[in-house]
Amino acid sequence: MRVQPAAQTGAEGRNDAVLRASHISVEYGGTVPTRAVRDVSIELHRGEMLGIAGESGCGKSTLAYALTRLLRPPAVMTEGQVLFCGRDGAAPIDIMQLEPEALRRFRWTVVSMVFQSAMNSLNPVISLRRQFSDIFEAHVPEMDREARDRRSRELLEMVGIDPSRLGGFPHELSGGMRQRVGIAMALALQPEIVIMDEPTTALDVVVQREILLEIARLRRELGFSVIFITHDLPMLVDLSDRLAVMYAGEIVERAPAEWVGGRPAHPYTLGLQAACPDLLGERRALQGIPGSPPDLRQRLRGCAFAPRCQYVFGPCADIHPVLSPLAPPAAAVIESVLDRDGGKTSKLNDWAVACHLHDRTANPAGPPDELAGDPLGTGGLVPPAVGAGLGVDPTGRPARGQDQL
Amino acid sequence: MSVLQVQDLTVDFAQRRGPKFRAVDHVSFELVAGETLALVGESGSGKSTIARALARLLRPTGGELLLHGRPVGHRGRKLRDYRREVQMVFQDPFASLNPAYTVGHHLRRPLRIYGHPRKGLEEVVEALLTSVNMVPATSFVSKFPHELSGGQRQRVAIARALATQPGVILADEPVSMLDVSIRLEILNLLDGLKRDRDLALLYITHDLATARYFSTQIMVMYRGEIVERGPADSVILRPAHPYTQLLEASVPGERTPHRLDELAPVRGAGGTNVILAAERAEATAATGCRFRRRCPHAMDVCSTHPVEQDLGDGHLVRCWLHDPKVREKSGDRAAPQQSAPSGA
Amino acid sequence: MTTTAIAPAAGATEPRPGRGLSARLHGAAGALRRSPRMLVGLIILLFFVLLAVFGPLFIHNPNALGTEVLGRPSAKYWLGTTQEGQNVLYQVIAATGPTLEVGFVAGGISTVLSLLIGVGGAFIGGISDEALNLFTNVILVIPVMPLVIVISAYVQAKSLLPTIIIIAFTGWAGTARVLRALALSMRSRDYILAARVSGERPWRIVVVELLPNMTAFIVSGFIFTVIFAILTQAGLAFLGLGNTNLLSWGNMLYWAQADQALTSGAWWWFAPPGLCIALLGTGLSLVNFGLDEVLNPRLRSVRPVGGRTKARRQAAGSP
Repeated sequence: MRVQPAAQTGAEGRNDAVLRASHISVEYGGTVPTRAVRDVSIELHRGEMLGIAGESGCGKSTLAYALTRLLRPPAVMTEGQVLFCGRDGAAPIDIMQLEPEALRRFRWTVVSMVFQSAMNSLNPVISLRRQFSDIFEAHVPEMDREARDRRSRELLEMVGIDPSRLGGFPHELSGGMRQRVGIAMALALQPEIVIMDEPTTALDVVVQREILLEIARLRRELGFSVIFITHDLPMLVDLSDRLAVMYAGEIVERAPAEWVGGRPAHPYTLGLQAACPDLLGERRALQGIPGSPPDLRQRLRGCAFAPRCQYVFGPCADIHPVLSPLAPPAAAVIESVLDRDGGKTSKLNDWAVACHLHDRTANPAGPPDELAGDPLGTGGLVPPAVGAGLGVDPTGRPARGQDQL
Repeated sequence: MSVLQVQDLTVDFAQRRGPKFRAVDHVSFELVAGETLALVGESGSGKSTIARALARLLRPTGGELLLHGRPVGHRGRKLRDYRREVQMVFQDPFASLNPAYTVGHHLRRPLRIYGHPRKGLEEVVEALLTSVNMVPATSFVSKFPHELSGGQRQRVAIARALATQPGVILADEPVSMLDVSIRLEILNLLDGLKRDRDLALLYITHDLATARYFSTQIMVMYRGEIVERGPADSVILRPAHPYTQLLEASVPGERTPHRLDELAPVRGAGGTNVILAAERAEATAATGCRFRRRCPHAMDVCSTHPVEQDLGDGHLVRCWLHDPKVREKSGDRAAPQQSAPSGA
Repeated sequence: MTTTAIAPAAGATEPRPGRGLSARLHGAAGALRRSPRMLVGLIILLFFVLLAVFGPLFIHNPNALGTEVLGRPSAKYWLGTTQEGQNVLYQVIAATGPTLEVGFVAGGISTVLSLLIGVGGAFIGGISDEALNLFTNVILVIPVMPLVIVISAYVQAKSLLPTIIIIAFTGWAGTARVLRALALSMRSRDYILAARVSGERPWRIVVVELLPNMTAFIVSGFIFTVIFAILTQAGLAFLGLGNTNLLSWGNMLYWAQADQALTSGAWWWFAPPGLCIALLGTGLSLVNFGLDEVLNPRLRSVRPVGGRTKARRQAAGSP
């Protein structure tokens, strides 16, 4: 059940980038440096929720920290640029070049963050009122105590917590409630971008659902953009507008969420999907992805996923696949869909994959059916011969967005 | 064939203020050789407490354990015999291995404790590693935990549990801290070992999907009680208890027939505050259905403790909604029918 | 069924404290490289140990009286002379041994006591643990110096042994508390529970499974206690307690003060022993800090990766 339909804030809104990160690389120092993020470029559009999916060690959290200049030693950003384009249409701001004072002002007022253990990022010995107050004192010094209190109460109510708890302490709240407080704090200064790093991982699935509904609602009301980082791919397919899948420090697939949910283009994404069995589906052989992620201290040759990929062929071992827009036949399918849809071919560029299977010159035959990309997921494609172990549903999945709340 | 029978297990924890907190309330079930029993619940439901009680890591307040039909002993030789038969795999692969010792040490200890002579020890250790697919075994024997990945550590933990050749394995959320892509491998491994060695497996998890696919029977726990139990497909595809339905509707990406707003928790004037207070009260309240404050179908009768209803086929639910007499009276008003699965 | 990767895990995490012996030896060399503090501390320590062991071979009787009274440092007397014409340098060197002896022996005994009472109590649990904990807290609260002074005043000290024993039996409480708290928290770690489920006997769990993981804290506690012992002994000697004829830095300070070295400006008499005490204490503390740094990667001083100025600027830019 999708939390929200794909947010359409207008053609201009969709293409309007609020954050533009180019060629970000991050290394962790040590006797042998670990390259945690490798040449990643990503754009966050205004008002959208961008999901970043990946497993441990793929670099998604590191990337988020790099975007906000929160990297701590031994992590160091060795190259890259992050441009922020404000609502007011002013010149883009290069975040990496900001002076410390400007950076401080930038933080939390423009970009804020909800951390993985927001329940642990609350200071246990300080009351909630003080913690909210600290935010305002640091960024809006002219606010007097009454105004701060009022705003703090508003924020608590906004996330569904009784405002009378403002005077209490974090340990008096449950895990879910503390996470909501974390979200409230992140929204305190009405930022344009909120980065959420696994905000619901430590929570029960029921509480998690509530939090996600809350986030969706707030987004609709306040209109901020979100980068949502998690290892839970089905959640992102449900929740986000676009999503990017990371593996070994790189983005391997980037697409509108509902399309990836239908039929992904990258073997790793397919594997991830298969690794999350459908609760109500038919019984089938379940299989994960064999092997383990590569050692990021090494220089990687070719495709980082090749050792674990069951579609590996010629160029994979030596030539590094570059993230490129989906080529035909997948592109052709999308085009035909979009024509029916009434245009918006700009969406075509939204689907990019880093895989030689989609490279026309390297693989003239085109990708196997289960990776051919199928935006509507209406199937009509032959059941997969290869990749049967990945258990893709042969009848295709019905279009998402039809089961609403 | 039943290997371990749990009868009326009850575990109370003393609280600093107020009455004792009952984490497990008169729970009964049995573990059958060659079958997996899934225990599903959220944190605070008591499922981990049950695992610890069965592993004899804590002393239950009440109830009885029968191993192979005989009551288990409490200390000395009898306790050691029990431990030999009942082993455990812990949730956190990073914490369940001692960082100061090698893989070999972890596997040798249980063998030595139960009297395996030094001669031939290495072969058995290597055989154990092979049985959990860590090959070549010799290369892993001298590795330290920090040199292994999460999945590999968990395999070592499983190998350790197998060392004493137990009849029962308690798997407490064995994969929830592993990456998604390796979870299925580990679960498949456990499944295969269970079949090969005719083990009775207790699979504790909060993940309904894997519970369904890997187990024969599922028990759903809520606040110390089993609210629904039965064959896996039956419980998942036709959930009868409102809590089970809520769980299913909350799983991301699932298309279930229940609308979330129907099942959404009741928001009082204080928001979820009310829920929290109500839940705390529930934990110590002795009477009535624990779920009634959150249940959209709560009725007056729910203030008395519901009795387990038999829905046929071994599917049982602890809910007044399925009591025929209650259904009659309310005229099938808002009873959530056991829902058919959506789509194919 | 698929097979796992054959090679051991890629991207292994930072080693945790308490690794096995062979790995630790390998790590020791790397550790020294990573922590300049520890290196400096160890050098200082090594210096004093060598001084204690080999120094006396190069000197003549340090207690020999001489004619030059309160003489300034000169070519003949590198650190000058005392009121009785004794060679200060010889005295300082000769005193090194006893000082180190008191420090390390008292430290050792004290640490053993801390282990028995702290960890033992944590594992026994129940009333015994409560009682031991209470006892520990009482000892901790009693001011040590006055206690030690009172006891020393009653004990006739012919050798260093009584001093060692007194210090050992008054200085264990702090470490005992720390070790107890640590043992309590580790008791519920999964690998300890796993050992119980495997059927390990309790004593084996404590000695084999638990203690190796506490080595960092035990070593740290030991070093701390050594510092405490040395300073306490110096203090006692300075006050004239214990056998004042036994040569130690503290004793030297006592005699210096008694013989009006301060007023007559004979800095060469009290400065060297004082400096030695301070230096040894510093060296031990640096080793302790260094140990922390080595075991906790996050505390290490930052050295930027590679030579790119951009990287440096960015690293500097992120506060």
